[in-house]
Amino acid sequence: MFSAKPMKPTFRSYLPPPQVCLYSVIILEREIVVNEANFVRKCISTDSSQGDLWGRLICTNFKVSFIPQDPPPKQKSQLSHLLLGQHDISLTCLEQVVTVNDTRGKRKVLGSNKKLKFNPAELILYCKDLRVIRFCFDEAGPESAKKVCLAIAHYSHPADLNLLFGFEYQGLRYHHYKGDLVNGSTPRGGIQTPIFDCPSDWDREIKRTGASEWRVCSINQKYIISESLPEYIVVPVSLTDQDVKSYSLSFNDGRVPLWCWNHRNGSALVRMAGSTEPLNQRKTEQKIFTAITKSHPQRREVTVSDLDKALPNIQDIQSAFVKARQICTLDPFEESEERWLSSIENSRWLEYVRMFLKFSAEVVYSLDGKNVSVILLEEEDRDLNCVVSSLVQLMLDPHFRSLNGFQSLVQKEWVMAGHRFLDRCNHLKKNENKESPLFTLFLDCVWQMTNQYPAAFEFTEAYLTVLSDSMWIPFFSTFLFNSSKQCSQDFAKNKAIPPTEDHTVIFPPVWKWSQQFSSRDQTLFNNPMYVGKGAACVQNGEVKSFQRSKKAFSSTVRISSTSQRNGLKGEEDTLQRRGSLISGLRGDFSPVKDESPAERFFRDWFSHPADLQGVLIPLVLPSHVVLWKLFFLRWVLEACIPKGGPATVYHKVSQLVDEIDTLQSKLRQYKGASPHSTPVPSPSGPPPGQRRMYFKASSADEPPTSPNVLNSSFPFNPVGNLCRRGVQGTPISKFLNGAKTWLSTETLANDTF
Amino acid sequence: MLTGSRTTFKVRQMLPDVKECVLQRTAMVRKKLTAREGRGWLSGTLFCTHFRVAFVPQDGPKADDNADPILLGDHDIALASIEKVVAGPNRTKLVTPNSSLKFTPEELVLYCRDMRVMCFLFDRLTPDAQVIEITFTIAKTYQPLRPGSVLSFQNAALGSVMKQFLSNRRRDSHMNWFESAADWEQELERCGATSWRVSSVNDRFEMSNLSKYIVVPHKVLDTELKKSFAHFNEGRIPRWCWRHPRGSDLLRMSSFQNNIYHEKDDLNLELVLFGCQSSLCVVVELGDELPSPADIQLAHSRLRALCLGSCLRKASEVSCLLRSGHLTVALQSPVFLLFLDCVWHLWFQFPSRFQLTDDFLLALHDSVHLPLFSTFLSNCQRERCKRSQYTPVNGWRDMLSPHSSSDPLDPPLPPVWDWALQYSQERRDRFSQSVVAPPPLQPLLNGNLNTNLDAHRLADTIPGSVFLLSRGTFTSPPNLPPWRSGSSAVYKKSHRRALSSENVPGLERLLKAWSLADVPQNPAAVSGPKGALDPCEPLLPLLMGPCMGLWRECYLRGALHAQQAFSHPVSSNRRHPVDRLAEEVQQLKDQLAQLSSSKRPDPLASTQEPRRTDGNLNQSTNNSTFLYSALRPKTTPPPTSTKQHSSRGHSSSSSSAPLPSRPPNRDGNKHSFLFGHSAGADPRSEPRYHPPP
Repeated sequence: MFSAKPMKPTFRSYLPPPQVCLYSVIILEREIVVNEANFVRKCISTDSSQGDLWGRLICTNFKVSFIPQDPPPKQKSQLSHLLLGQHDISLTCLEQVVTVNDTRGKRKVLGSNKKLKFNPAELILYCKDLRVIRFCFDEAGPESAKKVCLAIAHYSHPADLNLLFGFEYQGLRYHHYKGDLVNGSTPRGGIQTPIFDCPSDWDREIKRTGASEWRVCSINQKYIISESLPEYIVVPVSLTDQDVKSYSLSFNDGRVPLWCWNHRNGSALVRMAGSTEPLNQRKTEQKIFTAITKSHPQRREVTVSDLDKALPNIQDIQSAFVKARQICTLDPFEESEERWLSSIENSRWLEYVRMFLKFSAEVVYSLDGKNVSVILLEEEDRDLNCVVSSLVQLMLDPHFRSLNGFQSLVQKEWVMAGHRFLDRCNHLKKNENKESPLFTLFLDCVWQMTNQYPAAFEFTEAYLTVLSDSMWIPFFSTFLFNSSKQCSQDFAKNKAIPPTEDHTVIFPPVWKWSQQFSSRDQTLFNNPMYVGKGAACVQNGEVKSFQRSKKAFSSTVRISSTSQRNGLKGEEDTLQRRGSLISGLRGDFSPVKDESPAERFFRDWFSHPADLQGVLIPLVLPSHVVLWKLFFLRWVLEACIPKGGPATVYHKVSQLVDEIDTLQSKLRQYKGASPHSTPVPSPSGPPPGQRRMYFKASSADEPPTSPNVLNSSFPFNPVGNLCRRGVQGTPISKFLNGAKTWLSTETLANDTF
Repeated sequence: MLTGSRTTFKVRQMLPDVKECVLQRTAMVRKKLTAREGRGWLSGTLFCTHFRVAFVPQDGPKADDNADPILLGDHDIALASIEKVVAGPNRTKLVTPNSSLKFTPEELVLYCRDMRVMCFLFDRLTPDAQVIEITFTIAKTYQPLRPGSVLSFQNAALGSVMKQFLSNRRRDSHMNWFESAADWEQELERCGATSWRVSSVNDRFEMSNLSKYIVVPHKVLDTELKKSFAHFNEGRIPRWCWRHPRGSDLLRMSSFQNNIYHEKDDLNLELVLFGCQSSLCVVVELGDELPSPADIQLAHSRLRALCLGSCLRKASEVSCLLRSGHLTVALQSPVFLLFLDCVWHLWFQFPSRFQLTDDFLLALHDSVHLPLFSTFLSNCQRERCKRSQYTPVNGWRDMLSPHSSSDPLDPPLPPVWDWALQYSQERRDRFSQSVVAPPPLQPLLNGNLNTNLDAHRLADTIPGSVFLLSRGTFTSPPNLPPWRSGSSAVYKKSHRRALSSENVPGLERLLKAWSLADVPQNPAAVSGPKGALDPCEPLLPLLMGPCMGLWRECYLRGALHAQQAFSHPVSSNRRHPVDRLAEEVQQLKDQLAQLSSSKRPDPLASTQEPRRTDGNLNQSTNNSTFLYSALRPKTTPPPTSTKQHSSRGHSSSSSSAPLPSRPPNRDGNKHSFLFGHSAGADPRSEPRYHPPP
């Protein structure tokens, strides 16, 4: 079992012969240094060389690494990656490798096996996580500079998926005998998140959602009927395996409609692909719709939502993202300053985020308000459906707002449903047309909801950002393949494993966070404000506040059944109203003429206090969908608020929650102790390893973390990334920035002081 | 018709003693609650008086007969802040005094000048006539019809009890009102500004419209001052505002008056007036850099149109409003609102560096639109002092007729800071957050925190140089003060400080020194020494597009509220959960203290332990928040009891420390309570205003 194998990467001190200075680079097992250049300057600012770092640029088969000669002191409160250093970029993360010619400023985008006719003066790396990094070779040897640039370009364009470093790395560490498979599934290695690669995960999900009229069907074992569906799928109980097999012929890639989730009221969320044979389609569809209707307790007709007609296509999304990225990272801010908000608006990214949220909210209305089963229809059922179905479940089911629930949702609706991560991420940089940041779009939508309901999600925006970054590390099964078949069959064989042995490569999912972060850093994922099952202490506070509002307004009790939600409870007695005999009280609450039932559903929902453990609908007005600053701007030094930003609030809240945790555990120790035994309350509460919060309440042995290091990019650090101009824009600072440039060019020594 | 039938009323429960003239009342009305209020509907009775539209909830809290009267309840709205009245919902109609209603409204929407929107829903059992009547009553009453009737209108509208109450209301003595010479002295002492003095040269408002007392350099004589008034527009001479802990001073003045004759004596006036004999001085020309009041006004009315536009159902309504001047009449130039927005931006970027919250900013924003408070109703102290000469701010309303204000019964207008008149204790509690880095203990710095850098600066620059910063460049124009130009050519030639505009070596050296000192400009530089924030360090807002935002909670609340489908969500920065969590910490501590004292399984483990922890926690709080805690004499005796000691002892130590005449910081324990605030005896509940003897 791989759990016995060493999990930690090997840290090796890397000491180049000439220098005596001490610096180190993380070199993983099987990682090979391909090329390197000395005396490279990493540019921090475009307008002056002040603050630039000198060091060695290294290209390995996994990453581009820069080792500064005098590394700046490491910040205490900053996420540190176990596999990548602060100046490292995974090769998979490179979006574009650009070299600049010294004499004419000519730029050349380097691809695989490209020739370089000039000696590069600069190398600019555009990263998929929105970093922009620039190296200057003014002191490095021209030949070594050229070589390292070509090596980076070459190794960032692997010819085949097999050549990604992940195969080397995991192939060594995670292969095992087929005989080791437990119940046909891969071993979990202590991850609590269900992977949905075995029937029991699906069974549990069916049970959890109360979908008694649905069953797990194993017809797709060995991917017989569809290459992109998971091996186990959930279908209506009224369909036999044979039915499923025959119906599958009518759908794209054999994708029979796939159950996603069941509402408590019995309506189901199903996703479906388009058809291959339009002639027989209606018949097949009708049969399946009937089966789904039969699985509904009230035998309601199904509603089909066509996503292709209502939502932007993947190219639209890609071009919007490229524009937004351009505005946030590349365009010089001075020139676009005044119209910055307009240009963000014009990128249409926020508009698309809105559209997906709105569409999902409408599906929520069908499931929750109309109590009908909904079928999401998309031509391939592998892109837009992933976004919408997971958003709908996030809005309806509080389970998915917990950390494990969210991970299982991504696993279920993205990984197992066959989202083409390989193509959409364009890991091989082969086909630009297939690239589309759908998962990023989804994360942005989730962030909008966390921004509007900060206490409803167990995870933080730092978690969402780290998750998006993990897409660019080629070690995880989650983001590397187009389908689960590709993961478990096509690429299970590997040259790293001797062909004589019956081994397969098992990629661990990204959910095993200990691969990337220490357990202390993982506490950054925990939202201190979360009101959920896992966070009893915070709940106390919340419950209290709800009680208060209950007393004050007497109308805030939300009852899940809509028919009972009728505004002021208990007021019917005191207020006899005209017309209330016929229309009921709710009818009186329709001050807007020509209101559709959906509009009324939303208005009704929004006129009540939101129950964070119930249905959650985001506001989709243009004024309330805002730019996800941490994701888009965290590397932009100019936009980083030193000692400010939401992180400072997070810091304070975390400290308080940690103190509550500590006090509660002390209290438990007192209460739990029998009258004769001596309670031993530890002054620091639960041992540090078990504490949920990143920021601890201050205590004697642990001085409080100084909020000095906090900034709006926390827990990321924009220092070391390219900055386009002086930070402040006041009239005096404009002048002073001029003075600084002038200082750097003039020798100060000549001045008489 | 309206006033005759129901002359007075006692608003049930909410306002026990205030006898106000009620024009109309309608029972069984529902008020739509905003997200801040918890959403949903609240039923009660709607009143319209001469002064306000009052909504009294049916099952509101039982009235306390001894409670002070208030101007506005939480659900009330002053008529003066109503901008328009719209009846709905199936057909919407802007109700004006002269319009007619062809239908019985079921819904009444009041749009306010402060961008709030109030929605009321009538019951269908209410007779049509009554609904129409109250709608028109509000529409007719909300605008004072006669010009110059503001104050008389307000005073007539207020009930006699309220008037009596206001007359006897005493001001908060803990606040610095900057009205007397002593107030200014106190501020000088707080800032450690020793080379400045309070001058009473303007105490009869003869010299200018400045306040009675102004702070000027110590060395300048009142006779010299008197001569200087003529050199400045409206006589607003340079006067002191604030002193930086490192010793530089902030002054403000109006622009120079150029067209007067300058005597020879005036030549060194700037040195005298700016108090810069020993250092240099930079005059920053604001007019060149910043938008004019007219620009601000235009931008604000556009913003209003945009934000309210989404709730006006027809675009034509917006243009109609704009044409009729409704949107523009509110404030001729909302400079103060712009200031509030700037403060909000700072607060938004540095949420944990403020004690005040955005609730407070909102309350201030809304109060600006109420013509009630002396704070906003006068142009200067002179007007505030002589109410008979009152001219309202920026065309709020027209001149007051002289006879109405001479009414001896009229109470003085209250200051806006008397928040209890408008906001309930619960709402006021939200004006500040409990856990916040306290301000540094003044006057420990005494303005003498001069570093080596300053020594450089002083040695290197010619003292007394005056530079002009305008449009982003420094110059030293020889005729910057007009008295240097023209006639005094002889002096200009011989004057050693007459520098040409091209060559400013002193300044260059200064800036070099400044740049070399490497003022922290980016997060790379702030990772410096661990420990508390530097209290002298300014909060520098980030100004680029991505860092600017819209004050949604202010500008969009009305629009969203009016749109039936969506109300406002509680955003991430709203309503800090810190208070709630802090309260919970205290409860747990109390429980723990109870348990530990009741059980006593082992005296050592149960009683010593929690105390020690508390002490430690408290101490480390000090370390993290008080930069100069070590300097403060430790007067606190060592803790003795289990719980009471923690914050109480601490706060008493901070307030009993040998501070100067400044009254003890009454919120002192609020700052430092992070780990020891007792929820039970809230010091904030102590009445801010003491009844007169």
